[in-house]
This record gives sequence, structure tokens and C-alpha cells, in this order.
Amino acid sequence: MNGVLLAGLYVLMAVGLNLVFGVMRVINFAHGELIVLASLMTASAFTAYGTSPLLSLLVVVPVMFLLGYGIERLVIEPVVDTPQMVSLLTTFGLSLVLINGGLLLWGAEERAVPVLTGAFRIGTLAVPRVRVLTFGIAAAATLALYAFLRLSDWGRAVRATAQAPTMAQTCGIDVRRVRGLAFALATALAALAGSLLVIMIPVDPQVGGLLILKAFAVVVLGGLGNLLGALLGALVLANAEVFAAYYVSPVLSEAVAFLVLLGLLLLRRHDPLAVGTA
Amino acid sequence: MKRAVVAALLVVSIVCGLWGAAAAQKPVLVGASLSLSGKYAKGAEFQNQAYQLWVEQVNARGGLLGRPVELRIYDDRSDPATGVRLYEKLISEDRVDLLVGPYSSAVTAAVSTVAEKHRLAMVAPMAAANEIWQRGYRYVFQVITPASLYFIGGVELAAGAGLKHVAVTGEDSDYPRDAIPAAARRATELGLQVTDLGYYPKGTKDFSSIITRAKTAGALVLVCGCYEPDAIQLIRQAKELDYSAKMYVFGVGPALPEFAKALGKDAEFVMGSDHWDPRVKTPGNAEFVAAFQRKFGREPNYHAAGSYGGMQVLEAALKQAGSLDQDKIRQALVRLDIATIFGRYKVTDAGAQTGKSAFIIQWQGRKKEIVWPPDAASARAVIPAPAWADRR
Amino acid sequence: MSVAPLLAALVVVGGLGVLPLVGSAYALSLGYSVVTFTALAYSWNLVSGYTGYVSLGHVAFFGVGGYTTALLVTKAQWHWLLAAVAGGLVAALVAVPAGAAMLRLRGPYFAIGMLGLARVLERLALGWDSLTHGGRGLYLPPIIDTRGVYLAAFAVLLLLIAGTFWLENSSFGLRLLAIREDETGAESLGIPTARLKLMAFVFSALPTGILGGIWAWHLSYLDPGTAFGINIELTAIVGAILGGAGTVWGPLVGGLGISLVGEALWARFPRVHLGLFGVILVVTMLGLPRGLATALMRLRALPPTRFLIRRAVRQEWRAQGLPLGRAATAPID
Repeated sequence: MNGVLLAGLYVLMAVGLNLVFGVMRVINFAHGELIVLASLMTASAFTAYGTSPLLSLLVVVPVMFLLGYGIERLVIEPVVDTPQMVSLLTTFGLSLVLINGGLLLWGAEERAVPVLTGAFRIGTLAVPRVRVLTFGIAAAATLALYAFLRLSDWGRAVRATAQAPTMAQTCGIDVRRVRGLAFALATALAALAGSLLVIMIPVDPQVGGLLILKAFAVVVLGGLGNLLGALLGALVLANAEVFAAYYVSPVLSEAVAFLVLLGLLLLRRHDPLAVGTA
Repeated sequence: MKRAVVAALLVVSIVCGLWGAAAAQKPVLVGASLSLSGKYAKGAEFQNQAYQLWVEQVNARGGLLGRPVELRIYDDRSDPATGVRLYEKLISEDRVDLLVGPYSSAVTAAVSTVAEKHRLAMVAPMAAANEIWQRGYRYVFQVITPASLYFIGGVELAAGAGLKHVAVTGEDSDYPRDAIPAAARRATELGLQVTDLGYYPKGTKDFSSIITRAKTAGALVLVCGCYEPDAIQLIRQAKELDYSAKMYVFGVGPALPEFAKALGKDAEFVMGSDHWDPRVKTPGNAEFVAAFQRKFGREPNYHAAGSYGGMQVLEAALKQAGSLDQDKIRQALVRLDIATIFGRYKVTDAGAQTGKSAFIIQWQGRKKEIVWPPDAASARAVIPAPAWADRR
Repeated sequence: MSVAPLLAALVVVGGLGVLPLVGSAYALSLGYSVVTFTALAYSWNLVSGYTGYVSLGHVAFFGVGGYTTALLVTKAQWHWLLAAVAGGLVAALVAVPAGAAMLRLRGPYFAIGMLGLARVLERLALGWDSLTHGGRGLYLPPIIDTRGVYLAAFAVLLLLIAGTFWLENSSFGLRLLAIREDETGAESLGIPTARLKLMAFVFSALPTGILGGIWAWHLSYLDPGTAFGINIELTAIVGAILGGAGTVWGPLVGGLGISLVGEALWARFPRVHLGLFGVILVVTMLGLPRGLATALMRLRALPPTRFLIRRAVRQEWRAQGLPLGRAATAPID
């Protein structure tokens, strides 16, 4: 049960990464830091004004959306058509700047938002309330994204840009603005994940690296650019972790998760770089 | 002719006097690398502040050996290899007069080799791993409570309260690997049953499996060698998963004020091992706490106290040695047996701490009370802790 | 081909060589770091620069070499140099099955897969504490003279430079480049891509492992975070990319540059060195995506290094009576 709920958060963390890669072939190494930034902002709002994270995310998410747009136009856009490592190192550099900023503004201490503790009891199971909520919001957000991409004009533009940028351009789509939008959306989703994450675990400016590894694992399991695959990937990863932590040992649970990841990677048949249909 | 000689002598003596004064005014350089970024950054912040406070105070008192003290700190990024390089820099480029230790056993393990190689005495306040002092080094000195003495008090309290079954776990890093086996051994000596839940990797955020296994095994006492974030998360999840142990003895986490702040009333009845408490009646402690609070706007924790205590030890050793001769300082550090704000300092010939034991604290009525050892206690231990469902 | 930059390069390398004789303890320590990271950049370049298979888990071999060496030294009392070489061999051995499995993945999947491998090995080192002492780390006998360590690392660096130069001028290297540019095309030309990729992979793992072993001896201490640290991985990669991947000059320029710049940064700007490093990275990537050395080579500030193979090509064409215009002797990039 725990695994399924955890998966919800993992999907949210991974969806943004997936979107960015799908649309512009860039692996955003700063994704974890964006999640953390939102977490820290949420925590600060809580300690300073007592605002519930569910309320503060109404501010945090749009702010991060704008930040994401700005980052894309300034830093990402110039490296869109370059070799993989160039964009990777660029986003890595960005992540360092964000970490340092976080350390300067918030210090190295962990921040937590201790609300919604306690659990629902279903028979003998104790289901933490916060995880149910997170799962609910994550599911809603993912569905919303799916609907957006499938049904709205902008969403179609995003998919077109992802599948065939030059074609899309000839059809009159402003590819640069679409990319900016996609990155901004991805950042907003990361921010949502961050606001929810900080309710569950304490966050400090340097955990971004750990988070992005989890997101990577999900994305890779499901297939880069494939939203539904990401959902499956998250389920597999989360459950593998929970399972391993309980039955094997906590030390090796992360290793097991990675081994699962590696195993599945190696078993993939079809071309992993195909952009998904979602 | 005589007047010329007198004039010359006068000039020479004035010049010498000025030169001597200049040399006397040359600051004593104290060098260290601290983890200002990286995984140890949080703990090192307090250490940094304590070092700074001590320097400020010692200068107000006239400095060391009549000279002002200057601190030089570099960032080792929580990386032992960077630390090694920076200590080499401090020694051969900055030519520091005195060394003090970095944060964490891992970094200290690596940089202690540099100190030993150059034969510079180094007080290492924030290093706990026993192996550092098992290598035959002569120039490194421990200040902190040895890890093996962290939980002894907790185990004795459990035995005294008639609790028979103890579950042990811990983070997979230096101190738990010394503290937990020692605690398990003492428990077995006292006739208690011990369930080993294994170690968990650094950075673990989810303890549900550990708690569930403790619950299933029927252990009524949970001993965990962990740091503050894990301790907080453990209690949160214990409540979520409805595991009501009769005693929680967590390592260094519960001793920190942030623990109670983060958990609110859920922190009640949790015990931890404490190296030090602001209210402990060690010499000069109250003044230290007040000064720290004034300067940095927050109460010091044991990282700060230990680091400050380490500086006090250094100062005392320097006074005894009477010069900056490293061998004299080393001898003084070996023989010293003093009380600092942190507690007693007394080391073995190898430099390992033997005089300092850990206090056991418990949160009672939103206050941190010292419950062990009995002669230092400020209140009696409350055992068993009420179940989660019974708490309002 | 102007002589000045070549002389400058020789002075730099020569200077590094005599450092043990003239440098202070700090200069030696810093020099050791610089040499190691430059050598790591070279070994990473061997596979990732030439085949285009960008690995984010190269440090896996560093750690394997480090732990092998540390264990041989502490448990079996081997001499450190022998133990380091053994570490390299073990790393190369591990690289065979790892490469066979991983190299089937393309692009970002390979990168992340290797990252995952490094994390798995780190966890293994943490968890297998009966062997590795887990998080407590291994304590090696203290090192007295760092000059030996420095010279060993320097020797590895020289071998790597020579090896890269050989690669640059060999048909093996050309075939690897073909894989980088268009793997399916290369396959259709009959190039045994799988075997060649694996060879490059294993060849790059060997020196990496040796360097890891020397690192452990130099610190007299090793724990999983130090052996498999991601900052080691990233410094090596940054050095290679900033200098220019897939070239001979690249890792030298980049490795030296990044190590010295990094050192200056955290000594002078303790609170913001991380961010400054990030800014430098971003700016360099935006301005010089193919690396500093490549730009310098285009400006003729650095001599080209493919001259041996170009001479061979020219001789071949001459023998076949083909016209040799400017196009035929233009730099192959």
C-alpha cells in the first residue's frame, strides 16, 4: 500500500523531467534543485506565517512556473540542439548555482512542515494521511497534464514540437515559445512535487541530487518522453524499494531499486529514444 | 665619542624594541578546514561559530601567549581528500601556528595523517571514530564522548525499569557502528534480549520497514544510533504506524532543540544521548551559552560546545607549554586533565578520550531533562512512555 | 605548426614532472590532485569522448580500484603500488561484464545506467561491511612520503596522454569516431562496433582503477562516499568536456584548468564557490560547447594532433595518384 502511494509522488517528480526531455531532448540536471527550491519556499511560508502548504502552493507553483520560463529562455534555449553532454553540463552548472543559492538563503539545515501527521486505519493497516493526500494531488496533476497535452491547442503544439520540431515550425508554431512553456510547465510540476514532498520528509538545499536519481529511475523505467510509462515506472520503483527495504535490508533497498532499474533497462526491446504518445 | 655610543645604543634598542613589538603583535594563526558545504554542512555551522566565538573571547582576554589570535577557515566540502589538501595548504603555505580539527570522523581520519606527518598537534573536537586513535598516531587528540559510551546509560535505565527486550538499529556510519555494538553488549551483560535490525544507509528517509520489524519482534525498547533528521522521521513514522515502544533511546538527535521544535508534543518521553546540555553545571557553561546566544541569535548545541571546549583545551595546553613548540604542546595535551564547559577532558597516551561520558536526556513537559547518570540528573526518568493512542 | 604552444605544453608537463623535487608540501598535494583529475579526464575521454557513449558512472571503476587496493594493503599487506595496479586490473575485469551489458544501451540510457551502476557499487561498499567496514571506512597505514604517490599518478597521466595520442592516430580511434558520429552507419560498413566499444570501455577502466588505488593510499583512508563520490565523477567529466572531448589536448587543458580554477575558488570564495563554479560551467558551455582546446586548435594556438594519420592518408592518396589540394590536407575534425 505504501508503495503505491509513494509512487504517486515519484510520478510527479518525474513527469517534469520527462516532459523536458520529450520536447527538447535535454536532460535537466537541475530538476532536483527546482523541487527543493519549492520545498524550501513552502517550509519558510509555514514557519514564518503558519501557512498550510496546500495554500502556499497556490503562490509557489506559479512563481516557479515563471522562473522556469525565464531559465528556459536564458540558459536552456541556446543549448537545445547541441550534443547531450553540453546540455547536461549546462543544467548541471545551473543546479550548482541553485544549490549555492539555497545554502545562502536557507543555510544547510533541514526544513520540515509537520502537518497532516497521523494515519487512516484500514483494518490492520496504518495508512499515513499525508501519503494519501500526496497521491491524490499527484494523480490529479498528472491527469490534468495528460488532458492538457491531448486536448488543448497549446498541448498539441507541445506534442508537435516534441515529435518533429522543424515540421512544427513550418506549420507556424513558435517552437521557442512552446519550449519555454514546456519547461515552465515542468518546473511548475516540480514545484508541486516539492511542496508536497516537504510535508513528508525534511528537506535541505542539498538533497536535489538524491531526488533527481529517483526521478531518473522512474523516467528511464517508463521510457523517456512517455507519460504513461512513467506511471508504471514509478509504481515499479516505489514498490521495489518498499519491498526490498522490508525483506532484504534497508541498506540494500536502494541498491535493489537500482538493480531493478538496470535490469529493466537491459530488457527493453523497442527503441528507447522514441518520443511517447502521451 | 661617548655620546655617539650612547646615541647608537639608544637607536639600536629602540629598533629592537619596535621589532620585538611587531613580532609580538604578529597574530597566532589557527587553521582548520570545515564542511561549509556538502553533507556535513549543518553540523559544521555550529562548529564554525564556536571557533569564532572562542577567538573573539580569547582576544578580549589578551590573546594566546600575549599575541592576538587569528582564525583561518577553508571549506573542505565534506570531502576528506579536499580536507587533506587544505590542511597541507594551511601548514605549508599559510604557515599556521596551530591546527584544530574539521567536522566529522571521516574528514578527521584523513587530515590527521597530515598533522601527524608534519608533527603538528591537533585537537579534533568533532571526531568520534575509535579507529582514528588506533593507528599509533601521537599528534591527534579527541574531545568528544567516545561513541561506545553513548547508550550505556539508556541500557542501564531499561534494565533498571525491568524492560526485557531491546531492538537496536542505526545509520551506517562511524559512530553508530561503535555505539550500537557496545550498547548491545551491555544489554546482553545485563540479561536483556537484543534484536538487531541492521544498519540503514545514510540519507534514508523512510523507516517504515525498521519500525514494522521492531513491532513484529515485540521489542519494547528501541535504540537507534542516528542523527537528528532520522530521529525525527522515526518518531513520526512510529506514530503513523502505531508502534508504541516503552522507551525510545535515539542517538544524538533528541538532544538537539530542533528535535522538539519539529515534533511538538510527539517528542515527549523520547530519550537521547547528550554530549552536553546548556544547563549542565560545568565551569563557565552558563556564560558560554549566554555569549553564544547573544552573538549568533540561537542557543548553542553540543557541536558548538564541543568545539568551544576543544579550544579551551588547546588554550590550557598552550599555557602549560608556554610556547608554540608543537612537541611541548603535544606533551601538555597528553597529560592534561581538566574540566571544560563541555565536560572532562582526559585522554589516553594515544590521544583517545577516556574521561568524558554521555548524559541521557528525556523530554518531559516540553523540557529536556537530564535523567542519567543519577548524580547529574535534573529529573527522574519516565518509563514506560505512554502509548500513542493514550496520548492527548 | 607553430612551436610556441608545443613548447608551452612541454614546459607545463615538465614542470609537473619536477614538482616533487621543488614544490612545497601543499604544492605537491595540489599537484597530485591536479594530475589525478587530469588523468581521470583522459581516461573518461578514452571511452566517452571517442565513442560518444557518455558515461556518468566512471567513478564506479575508481571506487573498485580504490577498495581493491585498500583491502589488499590492509588485509594482505601488499605494497601499495602493486595493490594499485591490481586495483586497476580488477576494475578492468569488472568492466567486461558491465560494459557488455551497458553498452547495449544508447544515449541518455547508457549515461543514467552507468550512474546507476556507480550508485549500486557505492551501496554495496556501504552494505558489505564485513569486507569493506561499510560507512566507517578503511584505515590504511599512514603515508610518509607523498612524492611516490605523486610520481605514480604522474606516470599514469603520461601513459594516458601517450595512449590518447596513439588512439587519435590509429585506425582503432578512427573507427571509434565513426561509432560516435553514426553507429548504425558504422555497423553497415562492417565495423564490429560492440567489440570496439567494449575494448575502449575496458581500456578506460584500467587506469581509472589504478588512480582510485593511489587515491586510497594517498588519503590513508577510504569510505564509500570518498571512493564513489559523485564530485570525482563530475570533476573528471567537466575537465574533459570543458577542454574538449575526443581530442588529445582537451583533457589536459580542461583538467588543469578545472582543478586550478576550482582550488582558487574555494580558497577565496568559501561561501559562493559552488555557485561560481556553476556559472563558469554554464558560460563556457554556452560559449564554447566543443571545448576550450578545440577552439584553441581552430585558432592555431594549439598544434593539431592528428598529423600522423593525416600523413598516412596523404601517402596513401599520393600512391594512388589522387589530387592533393588544400581540401585533402585540411584538419580532420
